[in-house]
Amino acid sequence: MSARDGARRWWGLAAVLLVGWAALEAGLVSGELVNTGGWGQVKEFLGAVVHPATGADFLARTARAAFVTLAFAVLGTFLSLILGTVGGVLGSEVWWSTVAAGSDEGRLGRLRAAWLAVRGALAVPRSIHEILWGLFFINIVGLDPIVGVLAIAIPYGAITAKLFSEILDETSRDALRALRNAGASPSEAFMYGLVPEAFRDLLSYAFYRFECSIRSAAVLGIIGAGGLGYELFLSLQSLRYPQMWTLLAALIALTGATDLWSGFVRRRLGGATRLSLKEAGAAPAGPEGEDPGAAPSTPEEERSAGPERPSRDPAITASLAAAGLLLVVSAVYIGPHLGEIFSAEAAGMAARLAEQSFPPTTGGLTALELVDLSAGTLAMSVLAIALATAGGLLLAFPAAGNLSLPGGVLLGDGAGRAWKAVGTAAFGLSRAVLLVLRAVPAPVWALVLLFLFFPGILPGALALGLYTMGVLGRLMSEVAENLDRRPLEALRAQGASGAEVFLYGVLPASARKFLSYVLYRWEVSIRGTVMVGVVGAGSLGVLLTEQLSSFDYSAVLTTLGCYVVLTFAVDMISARARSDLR
Amino acid sequence: MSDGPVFELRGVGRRYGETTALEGVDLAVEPGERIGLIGPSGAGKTTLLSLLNATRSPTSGRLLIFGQDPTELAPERRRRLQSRIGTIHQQFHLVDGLRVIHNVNAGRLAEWSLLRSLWSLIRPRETDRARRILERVGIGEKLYERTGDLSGGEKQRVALSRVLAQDPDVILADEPIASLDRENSREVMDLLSRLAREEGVTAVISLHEYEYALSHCERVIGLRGGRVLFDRPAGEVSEELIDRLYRLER
Repeated sequence: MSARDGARRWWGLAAVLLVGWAALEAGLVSGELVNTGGWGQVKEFLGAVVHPATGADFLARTARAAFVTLAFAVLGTFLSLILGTVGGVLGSEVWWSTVAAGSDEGRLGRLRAAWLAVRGALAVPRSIHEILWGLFFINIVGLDPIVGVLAIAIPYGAITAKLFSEILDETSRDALRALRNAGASPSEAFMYGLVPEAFRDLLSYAFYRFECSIRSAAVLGIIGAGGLGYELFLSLQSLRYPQMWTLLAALIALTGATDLWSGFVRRRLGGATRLSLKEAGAAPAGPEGEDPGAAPSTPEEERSAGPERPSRDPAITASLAAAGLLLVVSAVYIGPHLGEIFSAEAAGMAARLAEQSFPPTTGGLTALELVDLSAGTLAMSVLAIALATAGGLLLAFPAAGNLSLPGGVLLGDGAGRAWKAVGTAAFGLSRAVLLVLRAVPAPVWALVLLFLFFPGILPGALALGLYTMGVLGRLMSEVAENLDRRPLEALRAQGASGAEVFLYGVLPASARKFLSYVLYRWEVSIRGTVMVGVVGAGSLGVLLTEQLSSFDYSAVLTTLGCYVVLTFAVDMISARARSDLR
Repeated sequence: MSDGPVFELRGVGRRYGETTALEGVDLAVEPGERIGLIGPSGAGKTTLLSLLNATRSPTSGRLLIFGQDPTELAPERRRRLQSRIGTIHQQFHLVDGLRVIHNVNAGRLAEWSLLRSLWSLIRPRETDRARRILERVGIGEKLYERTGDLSGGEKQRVALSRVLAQDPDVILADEPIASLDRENSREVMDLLSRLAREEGVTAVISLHEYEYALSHCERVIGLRGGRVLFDRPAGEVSEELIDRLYRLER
């Protein structure tokens, strides 16, 4: 037995124990969980699907809200790109060693400290979920659209910066060196030799971030920033279910359209190959969905086949023009609010906030109670990722067109018409389910589940799990769609059935990347527990919301500290598992 | 097995959209023959092999495999037919994430029930058989290694073992040595022709290196531009024919 087999067994056992512990913690074994009194509400909610609100007034309101959510995402992504580019250059080793140091070798040693400081500073905004940024800004400027934009821009900017700096550092320095030798200044060499090489990857990644930011924008609405999330929350609070279905339909359409557009652009850009090579390996973890490698990769030979990619792809140009137009319209709408954040009032508010936060207190809780709440939060993330993994595995394969559609590897050429119909139906259905799962914000899932379950870890875990299932399932199906088709066809050619091709080909070939994504989404989930906390389903999140609403900022700081410890612990375990199982 | 020809092609052609890959191919392959398939890149060698193992269907003409037309068979019968044909490829087409034992056992999938296939992934079945096969190709000790960790020459031996586990009546090989170094190339070709002889199976091997076709096969078919340029015993292939086969178009 090799060392890897030993590690695999060990981690397998650890995973089973962890999920078992989480189930105990959530009271799955002993507790009273189901609130039978809530059935009537659930039936009423589900029944309303056949008559969504269609009044002209409400439709107009829905359209406006959808635009606000879109504007958050567009402006948030744009700002995060600016922050990410600046932060990425300043966070890259190559910038410090070529431009900042110039040709002075001696300065390099001193500058190293500065470089590490920038990297460290970028880690902080990254580890805080955008909903926490949102709550912070709401406390400073109140319910204002600018909250939605900034809450996306800051953490996303830090994530983009880390990724961009890695791209820059990994790009070949041959061109840079050649330009320097030809007499170009360090900054010129950097601009001409390095940035264009890395730009394509950055663009591809930006579109993926845009896709994530639509989901973030919807969640931010729920805490009051506005848009579809806000309207959803209002309709749910006032029990207007028909309105909810209209809003959900709008959100699903918006998410679906964004995902299609982003997927199309990323495919046209040839996939950000470096991101896919990373395989979520050394990649940064952050608040929401910054999954590296999410861009579809092309098989090896296709990638190397065409060095002469068309430099001007009309589809990309059109997409960029559309993005520019969206940006202008969004800026016109939200721009005037930009002043809010720089007003004297906001500055005073921020100063008061900082003053009230120190020194941190436990807000009347004992240390043991804090540990208990943290354990509950960890259990919630574990149950959520376990559920998401199980569901994602079931949904991802039928959702991969290269497997399930007619002509796909699982059906083969000789499949009868009935099987082709089954394959097509399974494809459409699983795609639709995944879209709905990820388009509905986790807090909304939690609010609906709270009809059925008593508040606690379980409804939070289910809500987070369902939402994560939607994201994870999509990522997994992208992995499956990019599998090398030839080994699968070789199995088929010798007479293996579809199910056997799946067992001996598809499953083992995708297992490793799946594992990376599962660990990765676990890191995202522990940060995401705060999303379901704000609506009352969950441990630390509920505490945090209570402390915020009673303006007990010194206690808030302690709770945030618990989050930071949990986040670091999960990141470390996950990184260790990844390297052991590689 | 019927005594008729293994493959019978009458005026077979295959088009991909606007491109014609094969055109008007007439051919009969008798049981036990070892045939080398040579020709320049794009001559249609790979397409011809994919028709012979029924992963693709001709777009014109008629192709019979063991006297049956695969396009007329129900999926189950077609799988039966395909299980009698083993194929190895230039890029091996193994599943790298699986251990060697499972890749070898993958050759048994057409025989096995789904339940047995599933169970074998948890507790490998027929390990003795798999080990014996691997020993025949010289890598018995690799049984439990992860396939992705092996070298190119070892991978091609695993691919060969998968075909042997399948126990086919025909072995098709698509450029089996194009990804290997010189030493491994010779060994794999020796192995392939020896195993074909010992098992008494028919072999059709496409080769970039025509020298190996002349030294290891009895009959050589030259393909050019999707058509058969010549088809004769290895001893009767002249330098002049080879020149005509590979000559650049002007």
